[in-house]
Amino acid sequence: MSLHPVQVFCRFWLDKIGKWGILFLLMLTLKELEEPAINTGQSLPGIFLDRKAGKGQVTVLVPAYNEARSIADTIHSLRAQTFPVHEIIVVDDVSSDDTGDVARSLGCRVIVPPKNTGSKAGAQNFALQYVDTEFTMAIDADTTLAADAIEKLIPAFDEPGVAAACGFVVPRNVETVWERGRYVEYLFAFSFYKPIQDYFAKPLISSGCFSLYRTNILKENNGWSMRTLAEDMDLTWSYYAKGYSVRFIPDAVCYPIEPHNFLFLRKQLKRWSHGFIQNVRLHWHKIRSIEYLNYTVTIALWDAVAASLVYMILLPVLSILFLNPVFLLGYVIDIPAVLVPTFMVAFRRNEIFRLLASLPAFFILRAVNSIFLLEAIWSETVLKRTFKVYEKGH
Amino acid sequence: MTAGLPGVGIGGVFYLLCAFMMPFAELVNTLRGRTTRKRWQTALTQFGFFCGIMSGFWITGLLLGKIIVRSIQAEMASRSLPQNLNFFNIQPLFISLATLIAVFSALRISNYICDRRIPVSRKSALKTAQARKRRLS
Repeated sequence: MSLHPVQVFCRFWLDKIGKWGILFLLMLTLKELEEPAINTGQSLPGIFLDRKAGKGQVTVLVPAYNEARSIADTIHSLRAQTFPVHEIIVVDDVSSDDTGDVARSLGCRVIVPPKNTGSKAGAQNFALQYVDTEFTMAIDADTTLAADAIEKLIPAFDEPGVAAACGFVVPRNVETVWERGRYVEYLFAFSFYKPIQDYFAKPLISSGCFSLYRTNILKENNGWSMRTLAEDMDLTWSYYAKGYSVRFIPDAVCYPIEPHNFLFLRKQLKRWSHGFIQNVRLHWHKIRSIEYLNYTVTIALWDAVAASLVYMILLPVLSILFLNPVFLLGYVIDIPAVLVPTFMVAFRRNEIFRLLASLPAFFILRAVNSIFLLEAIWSETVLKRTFKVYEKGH
Repeated sequence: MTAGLPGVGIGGVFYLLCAFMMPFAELVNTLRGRTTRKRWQTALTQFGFFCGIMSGFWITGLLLGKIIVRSIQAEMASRSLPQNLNFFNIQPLFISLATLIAVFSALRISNYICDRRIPVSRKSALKTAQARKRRLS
């Protein structure tokens, strides 16, 4: 019986290269084990010498632009924390609704910049000058926290050199197809990818919607940079480049409102995709030699190109060319990989039916995501057209 | 936020490989006295995910095989087909693994080339900075 060309190809790889590849990977593994990457963060002594008022205390920054409908929930969840918050500073970024009044009525300090800062980073930077506590927390005005979220994050800073810590993100509303897709995406990324990244001491991003920072290091970094559209990624990678550590604490849970319709989703995906490419371009020369981070960034970039091309071009073309819908299985081929970790988390959270009902939406969202990634790569690297407009999309 | 496309491509294989390696890495850490219970917990959880995912692929292959065999046999009653046909195939994983190795090798080579291009003055400055960092830690 003659073999199919694909089988011949596979056997060639397996027989000739596969074994050597495994050997090579084992060597890489052993090399990795030589210097075990533990979040000990011993690189920068001196940061604990900064003993001033507000030690061990947390100031929360809430950048807000037209968030009157959601900011009350955020403030209530901050007030209900088991770890008491020193101060909540709401940056009313010249909203046209009554965001500031709502925050004031709930006892928060509200500051208003002279004009709209144009981005979340700008609003947070404006507020940073008012912070004099040891820790600064940034939280989106549409995000609520589990009651013990801050209490769970604080111990991450017991290790010296830790500059930031982030938690587990779960969408608060899971109703529309986009919210359901994002729900599965987060469960998967935060239960499987992020703990692995944290184990190897390099979480890819300290999520902007809810992160805790050491104030003196944040100020030393001049706050959040506005060079890119993904200020959280920019800050995280800047920290790594300076030798600081970032931690992911899965027990600290936050609940943001995710885009409920395509209009908001489009803005968010555009911002994230362009932000990712902008950060790769900006930081590559520094992070290329940071072990593990260089791997995760490289494969994220590779998959953004290769997997997106497979999704958008290869699979549809093959299924049309061979008139065989079996190629379309490629869109969902990794169901077991997605289902196993998400199922475990959903089981713990008693959300099995929600997960199963949301699973198809994940594959739809991922296909849509690939379009935006390809567009961003094309626009930022080929056309050299940098996307700079910060469009709010939750 | 997340970066890239979770689940697909060589990224999926990379994280599977990491999950597989974690208990072994932690064993080395334990032997060096640099472990914690929390780290073991993470390593074993992720290793459990690795086992679950691989089993999931295997079961999916088996179920697909059963469904396809049944549908073919319904059409061609006279032909006998193997009952335990498993569509789970390790070879595509090896292709992804080979791609992963190629990508990482390219990264290593480009790093090597870039490092060689760094002027001597900057190289020595870097060395001094690294030595100072080591002294401080």
